[in-house]
Formats: sequence, C-alpha cells, structure tokens
Amino acid sequence: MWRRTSLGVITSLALVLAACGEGGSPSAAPASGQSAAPTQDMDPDQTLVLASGATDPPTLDPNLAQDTSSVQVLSSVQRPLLWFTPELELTTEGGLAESYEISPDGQTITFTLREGIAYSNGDPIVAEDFVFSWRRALDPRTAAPYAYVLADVVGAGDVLDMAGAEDPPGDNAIEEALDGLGLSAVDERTFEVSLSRPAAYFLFVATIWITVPIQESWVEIGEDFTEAENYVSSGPFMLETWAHDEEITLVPNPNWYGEAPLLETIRLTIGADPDGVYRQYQNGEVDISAVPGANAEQVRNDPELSAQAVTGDVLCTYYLGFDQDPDDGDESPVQNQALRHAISQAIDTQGLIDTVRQGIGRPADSFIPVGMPGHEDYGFGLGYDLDAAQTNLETALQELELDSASDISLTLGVNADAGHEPIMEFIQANLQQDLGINVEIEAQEWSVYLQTLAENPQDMYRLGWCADYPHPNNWLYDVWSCDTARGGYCNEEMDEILAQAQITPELEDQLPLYEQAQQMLVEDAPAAWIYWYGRFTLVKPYVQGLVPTAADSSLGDMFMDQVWISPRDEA
Amino acid sequence: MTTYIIRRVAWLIPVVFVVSVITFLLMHAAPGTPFQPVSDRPLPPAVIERLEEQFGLNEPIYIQYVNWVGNILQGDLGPSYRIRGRGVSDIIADNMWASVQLGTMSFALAVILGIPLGVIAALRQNKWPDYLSTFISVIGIATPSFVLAVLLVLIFSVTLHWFPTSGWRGPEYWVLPVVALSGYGIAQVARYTRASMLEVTRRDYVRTAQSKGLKERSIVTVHMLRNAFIPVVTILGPLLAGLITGSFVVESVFAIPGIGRFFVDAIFQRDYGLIMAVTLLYAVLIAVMNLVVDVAYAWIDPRIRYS
Repeated sequence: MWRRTSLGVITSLALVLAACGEGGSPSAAPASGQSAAPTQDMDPDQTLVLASGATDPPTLDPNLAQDTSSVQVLSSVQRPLLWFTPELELTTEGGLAESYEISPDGQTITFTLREGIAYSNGDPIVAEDFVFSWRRALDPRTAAPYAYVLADVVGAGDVLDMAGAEDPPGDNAIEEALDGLGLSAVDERTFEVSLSRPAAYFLFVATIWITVPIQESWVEIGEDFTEAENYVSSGPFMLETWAHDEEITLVPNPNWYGEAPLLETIRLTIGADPDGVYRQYQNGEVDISAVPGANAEQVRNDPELSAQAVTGDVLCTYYLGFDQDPDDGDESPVQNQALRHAISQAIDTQGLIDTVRQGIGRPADSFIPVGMPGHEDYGFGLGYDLDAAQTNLETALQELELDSASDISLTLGVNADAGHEPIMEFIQANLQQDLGINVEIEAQEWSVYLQTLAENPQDMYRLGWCADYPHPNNWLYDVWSCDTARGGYCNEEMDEILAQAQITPELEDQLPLYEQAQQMLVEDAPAAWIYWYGRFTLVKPYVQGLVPTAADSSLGDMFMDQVWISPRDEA
Repeated sequence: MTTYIIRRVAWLIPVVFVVSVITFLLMHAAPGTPFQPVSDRPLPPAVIERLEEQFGLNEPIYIQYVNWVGNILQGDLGPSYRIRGRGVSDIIADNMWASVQLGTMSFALAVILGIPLGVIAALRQNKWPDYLSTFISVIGIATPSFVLAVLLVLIFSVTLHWFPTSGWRGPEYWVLPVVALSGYGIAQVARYTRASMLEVTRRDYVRTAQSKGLKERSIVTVHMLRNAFIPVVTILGPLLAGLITGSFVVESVFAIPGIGRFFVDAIFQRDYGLIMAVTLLYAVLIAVMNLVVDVAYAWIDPRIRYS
C-alpha cells in the first residue's frame, strides 16, 4: 500500500518536472518576489493546506455564491470568460475567452471562446453554457443575490423587476422575459451579449464567479449537483471531495486548457474561527493564516513569524453611513452637510487604526480604496482635522438653529458581537470629547440590524463594501447612485458623470470622470469614511509562487495554479 | 413498571408538541430573515421576498406550522434556508455522530474521574485529599469551557505540539476536546458525590455495618455508594443529554463537525428548520434521559416503586 502511494507520487512528480522542462517557467508572475521556477527542489508532497471558513461554504453553485468561503473555492474550480493579471488588469490569459470584440456603438460584446476547452467531466465548454448560466443567474426563481451585476444586459431590467413584483409572475411570463434577454450563442464558440446601453465597465462583469459557464445537464442532476461526486469544474482545479463541515479537497482538473497546476492537492479545512486558524498555523496544520488583530503585536515582535507575514491592501472600505432620508419618519441632524463634515473630520482614523485595529489597514478619506487600479490616494478627503471640524460644527449649529453641540444627540448603529463595538466606542469618544455631541451606540444582532437598516436606520450606521470586480463603477455607481444608495442619498449631477463614464470606452479616459464623481461624493459626505482594509497574513516559507492581489477574497486565491511547495524541512 | 414507562413515553407527545409550538412562535417573533448573508452586503429586498416566497415563509404563521408538522410526520425535516441544497436531515445526520462521540467520551470521563474524586473527598473529609478534590472541583466549575479549551490548545498543541489544535479525525484529535468538555462534568459529579456520601456516612446503617466489622471497601461500595447514588444519578441524565447534543464552545474552538454549533448559529442566522430540529432533538433527549434516570432510581433503590 505504502509502496504504491509513494510510486504514485514519484510518477506524478516526474510528470510535473517533464512539464516544466517543456513549458518553461510555470510560475509566470511571482508578485510576492519569493518565487522561482521549481526544478528539483520541490517537496515530494505537493499539498497545500488552507483554512476555509468557520462553517461550511453555504453553496458552491456559482450563480448563487456570495460568501468568501464559497468564492475561495470557486476561484480555483471555475473560470469566467476573462481573468486578471496580478496587477488587476483585464486579460484573456487564464479566462475561457480567447478574444472579445466590442461593437462600435458599445452595446454588443462578442466573446470568442478558446478552442477545445472542456470541463472536468470531459464535455466541451460551449457558448450555450454561458447563455444558460447568465439566464439562470437572472431568473427570479433562482433568486441569485448577485444577479444585479447583469442588469445592463438587454431585457435584464424587466427580469430583475419581476423578482420584486407585487404579484409574482407565472412561469410562462418569466420564461418569456428570459427569452428576451440579450444573450445568444451564435455558434459553439461565439457568445454574444447585447447591452441596453454602452457599459464600458461590463467586461469586468465577465470576470465574476457568477458568470462562469454552467452546463444545463449539470444543474439538472438535482439538488445535490454541487456535491463532489457530481461537481463539474471549468477551472484549473476540480472538486475531489467535500466532507461537509470538515474538509474540501481540490485536485488539478485534467481538462484545464492552461498549464497544469503544480500542486497535487489543495486541502481546505472547515470549522476553525480566525483565532483557531491562527493556532492551527502555529501548530503546522495550515499553511496560510490571517493574523487576528489581538496577535498582530506578537507577530511583529517575533522575528520568525514577522518574516512570514504578507501585507498589502484589500479592496474594502469601512464606513459610517448617515441616514439623510427624511421620508423614513424621523428628522435627523445629520441631514445637515456641515455637521456630516464635522463628524468626518473629528474621527481620528489613524489613531483608530493604530490602537483598535492594531495597525492593520489605512485611514480612509474617500470611498474607493487605495489598491484599486488607477486609484491613488487623492488626499481631497475630509481627513482628521479638529480645527476644521470645530468650524464646521459652528456652521452646523447656526444652520440647525441650536445653541450648543450638546443639543445634538445621535444614534450610532452597529451589528453586535462581530468585533465592531470597540471601533464604535472609539468613534463615540472622539465625537463626544472633541465635538461635544451626544452619541448613543445601538448594537443589534446582525439580522435585527439589517432589518433596521432596511426600514429606518440609525443616524449613523456601520457598513463595509468590498469590490465584486476591481472597477470604480462597482464602487460609485453600485453603491452611491440614486438607484442604489441607502440613507436617502441622491446626487443627480454625480449620476450624470457616472453615466458618462459608463459609455467612455477606455479605462484611462474613464478614470478622470470617476475621480470627479468621487470628489463630489466626498463633498456630499453621505458617509464618514473610516478605514481601508489591510492584509496581514502569515504564509509558511515553503509555500512558493503565491500571487497575492488586492482583489483576493482569500490570499492568492486567483492564481492557485501557480503555487508550489519547496521542501518543507529546509524551510 | 412497564405501564409506567409506556405512560411516560406517551407523555412525550404533548411535551414535544408544546415545545415545538413555543419554539416556532418565538423564533418567528424575532425580526430578520434566514436569507441575509453574514458578509457586509445586505441582499436587495426583492431577492429576499422571492426567496421567502419560494420557501413558503410569506404564508401566515399557523399555515407554516401546519406545513412543518405535515412534513415532519412524513419524516422530512425540511430544507436548511441557509445552506443551499442540503436538508436539515442531512445536516443532522452528517454532524450528529461527532457530537455523540464527543459527548459520550466526555460523559464517561466525567463519571470515571468525578465519582472517585467525590468518594475520596468524602471519606477523607477535611484532610488533604478532600482539599485537593474540592480545589479541582471549584476550578472545574469556575473555568468556562472556552478558557479551558483555549488553554489546553495553547499548552499541548501550540507549545508542546503533542496534539493537533483542531479537527476530528482520530484518537489524537479526541483528547483535548474531551478533556475540555468534561471539566465541568467532572467537577459537578465530584461535588454531588461528595455531598451525598457525607450524608450517608452519618446514617445508622453505616454505623451498624462498621460495628459488624465489615471491611471498609464493602461498606463504601455496597452500603454507602449505592445509597448516595440517587442525587448523582439525577444530574447524570441531563448531563449526558447536554454533552451529547454538543457544546457550541468546545466544537467551535476545536473545529469539530458536530451538531452543537448549529444550536447557536441556526438561531443567529434564523435558519428556522434547523432551529426546530435541534431544539426538538434536545427536548426529546432530555425527556428520555429523565425517564432513564427515573427508571434507574427504582433499580438503585428498591424502596422506590412506580405505579
């Protein structure tokens, strides 16, 4: 038994080595700087052990997935039309499309699929599978949480409206509406998308996990089509086992068109919370672990651990929204812009990061985080500035016809028991001590909090936003346009600029427009920007070829096919 | 006796009914929906409405209850609203075994260590074995299991590397969780055993046995322990039920794929079907354990008769 196993390892290692000899450097883009082309110095056991979530990924159905733990798996086992470079530029490299063409009016995108691509079950990947997948994602009966990203497809608006209709439409009406969608498989390799308006950002949508191809026959297997024995993969890896609440294992997909992954197995262990994962890392049970805030100092002071740390930006923004909506039944002082500015400027965001956040992250002064392609820290935001805050407060008091700051009492909403209370208490202390306004924290259990947000939010409410795709549209339009914003915010002038950007073909021409829009957003201050997330993750020294990007849902998950293991005992 | 057991089992039905109605009403009274993600991204209301409709959550609550009972009677515990594509029955079937193993082992450890600890403490009252036993018990009762669990991991996994920090794959994975979970049980069993042993020590029949010149061992096991056992048995039933249905804390710290974490997670996530299932499971277990305890009384103490 033992002999057979070890022979198997040797054979496949030989195959990998042979592949390297022919194909050149397999780890093409070593962004972490620790990678080199693997030759004889590979560990015989090419197994990478990662932590999944504290609970089972809720689903591996690509159309339905929304949680980090689901996306972590999907990034490796499924592939959309387009993919990214490590610098987060769009590319066909690593995607299933060989090329794409945008019509002169900007309203039709034609994707040409690569030749001879196939799923893990051996069936060819055809354009019809994309039509099926996108149609299924939009189908109100699927109730896909992320369906809205496809809203600009011709006919998608009507279908999306059906989901919220007072009288739910019948199956016939739904089918009819779905037949009207601007999606067509011209031939096996040509997938055509018609848009209801020129939407330059739309190519980025073709990188999201919900847009991967899905075979109709796969979904027809029934409820358990996402179980390992039924799972059909289009990515570099495929699902080998899924022991619920225990472990998921991925192995290379033999039908992947690109270079074969170097790892033989990725094990994703389920069940440990972030503290537990960190202990697993210390005991050598997982190869990658985020550093829990409470342990950040310990890691920085430990020469061995700090050498294993990978830091970087993450495309997420933590903010306090202001409830400016006069229609939800209450008048709030935060409808006053000067007061919103005063509050933004009175929050010591750097101090917050240094203390409560243990130095992880960066103070935010606008919504789009640093690390987004084309986004520098503009420095036009309402940073921490107590003098300016005082001036703004005085203006606000005059405009609100109040005598003193102590006449202002605000509620601050937060979801309880998720580690946010210390941050809220820090902000509360800032506002009470430096501005003299009263702030009462309302901590609610998550389900209750979301209901409050939907019905009548607190004066200030905590939320965060992470990129679905690294394009400014996903930040400014998807969160703050009149159609999408919460808290009653609406700036039609900004919306016009955003619409202008959406029909501007080249990214470099769009960026100045987005910058202008963001400037308006910051000035309007529908929220106080608190911090941009940061990464502080430990990686075992023998993990090679890892390519971290700011858009990873978990470290390096977009390029797992390039990772390999150098001898463990030498590391 | 048999009639008594049958009657008690028959009583289970109204008990389960009342528990299910109360749980059903309480969980639906709490605001929120099972369909919200745990990430910072509230779903559009339209999607939630659609999902609630799909799963019948838009119906009046009594209809929902009747539907649920109907499904239960057909052996269908319904879907998990949270975890797509897995039924509640699947989740319980997949996760029950680890909890049963963990619970039974912890129970066994609690009994094996707790009873001798209590007996020794009682026999050597106010001497050092008593103080030692009391010390262990107080620590066991006062230390929350999450402190004990994390402490054990930090010492025996992270520092000494003797055991894995988490998982449930074999004997080496069992040691720390079982010790962590049984800490409270050991202490509780020891305290009860000590107290009731002390009480029987002063009884006339013990003095008689001593004056007859019986060996101490036989006095302790036959005359004292058996009589001292009734209060201890009373707590053993619920203890076993509690240990078997799992511990949220211990299962979370050690990443054990058990049922315990669902008790808490399901409630926070409003996963209605799962809440009902685990609550009823717990209710039935408690009721059955209490029955077992009552039957054990009669076996331990022939003076107790049921009619």
